[in-house]
Amino acid sequence: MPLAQWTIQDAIATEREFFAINGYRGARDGERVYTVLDGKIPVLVSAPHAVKHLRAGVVEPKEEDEYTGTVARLLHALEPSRAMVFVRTREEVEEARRRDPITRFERVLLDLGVLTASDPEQIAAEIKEDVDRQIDEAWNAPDPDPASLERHVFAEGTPQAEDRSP
Amino acid sequence: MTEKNLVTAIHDALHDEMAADDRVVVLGEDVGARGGVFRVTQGFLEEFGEARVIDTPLAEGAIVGVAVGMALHGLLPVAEIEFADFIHPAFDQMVSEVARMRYRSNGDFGLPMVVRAPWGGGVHGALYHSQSVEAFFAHVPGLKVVVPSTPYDAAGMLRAAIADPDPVLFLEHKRTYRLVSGEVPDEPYTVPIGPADVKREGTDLTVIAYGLMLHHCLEAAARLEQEHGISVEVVDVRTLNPLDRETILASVRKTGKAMVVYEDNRSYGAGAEIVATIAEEALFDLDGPLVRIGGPDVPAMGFATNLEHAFMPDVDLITQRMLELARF
Repeated sequence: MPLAQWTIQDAIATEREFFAINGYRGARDGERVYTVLDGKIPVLVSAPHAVKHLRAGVVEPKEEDEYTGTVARLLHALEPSRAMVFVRTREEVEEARRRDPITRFERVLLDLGVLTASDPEQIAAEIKEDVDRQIDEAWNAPDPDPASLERHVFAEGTPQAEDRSP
Repeated sequence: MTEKNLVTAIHDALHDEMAADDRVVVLGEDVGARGGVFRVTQGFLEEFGEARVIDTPLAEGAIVGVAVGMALHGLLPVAEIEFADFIHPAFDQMVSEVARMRYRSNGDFGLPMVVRAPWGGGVHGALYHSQSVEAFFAHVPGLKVVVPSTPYDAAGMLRAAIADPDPVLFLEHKRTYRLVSGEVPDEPYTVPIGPADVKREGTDLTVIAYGLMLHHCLEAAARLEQEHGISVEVVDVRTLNPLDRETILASVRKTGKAMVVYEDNRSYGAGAEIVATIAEEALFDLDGPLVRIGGPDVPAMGFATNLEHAFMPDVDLITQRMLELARF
């Protein structure tokens, strides 16, 4: 089938078998869980592509790995892109989460009684609210005045600066 | 000949040098398993092994210091500083050891080594991923500093740098990595360290530049020719130390007008040395003021797009200043 006529569902159906290799570990290269499709143009296909389509319902849950990998494979098919396709199992993701130092520290604080059971969720919510607010502020802020580029190289407008002016 | 972008040309040249000579080794942060933050060493670890492709800790002083030891013991190290902005911890090694080894040993020991570092702005990198560091190092005798700006020059000069008996700081403008493409010979070749290159011939004024600014100047020169019939000669410095004064002066004597464009802080930058050379050697050949365009004297460009634009000279500004000088 000509590539231009492929739908993403066609591509997933075609590539599913490839990505199912080795229990979704992909082709193993030593201990690295990836396979490299050789080409001249480096291409990185990141997870947000899959997230966007997951949210839009274009791909079903559990298909995100296939989707992300498929985009890389399609780009490779358009050659001469070079695609490095990472595939991780859910067990590996869980293991990484288990070793997350923030999560481990949270468990230590809970065990010591420094945190109560409800504290982590509350702290996370407060942090998220703060971060979201600051992101909104940043997006909605006007561009800075270009003249501000030249400010604060040295002290200015402070009593100390005025006292020490020659 | 094959059309390549600048970063691919560097990758391929470095690969060929490693394949041709077992003494060539690369070391730096993420050069191994990750293949380099810009993929310059992609695939090297698998092909050449851990003994020749060495992932290092985040310790720039150690990266350069280890390269010094390697070079003293017969290897040809190509050290990578992930971003030039982080080269400063290695400043002591670069100045006190790398640049001075031959002089202080009365010629007994040399350091055939290369330190590669991506530099420059235009990538929204702000304080720690946009700096220009060439002036710090071009000031140091004993250290060659090169700034190739085209795929052809980058590949040829990298081979020349690896073959050089003395240390070379090889600065790669990261905005040009994938922005600039060009024909590169398939067979190995070198571009000598030292000579500048006239990238565009002209008769009305000379513009001297390097890095991303070279490409801005070439675009501005083409625009000026088309819109105003003004003929601009564009000289690509290519090597900052040793500076090719002869090529620069010959061009200025021909056109009678000179402008230097660079994105580093304007004061005490490479442009100052170039302008001073012209003033000393060709003052009476000039028909107009010497013009220097550089970045403002502030520590870095901002994250905000308009602050980055406010810092970096662009094609419009360069075109306008060229026009003013041509009409002087």
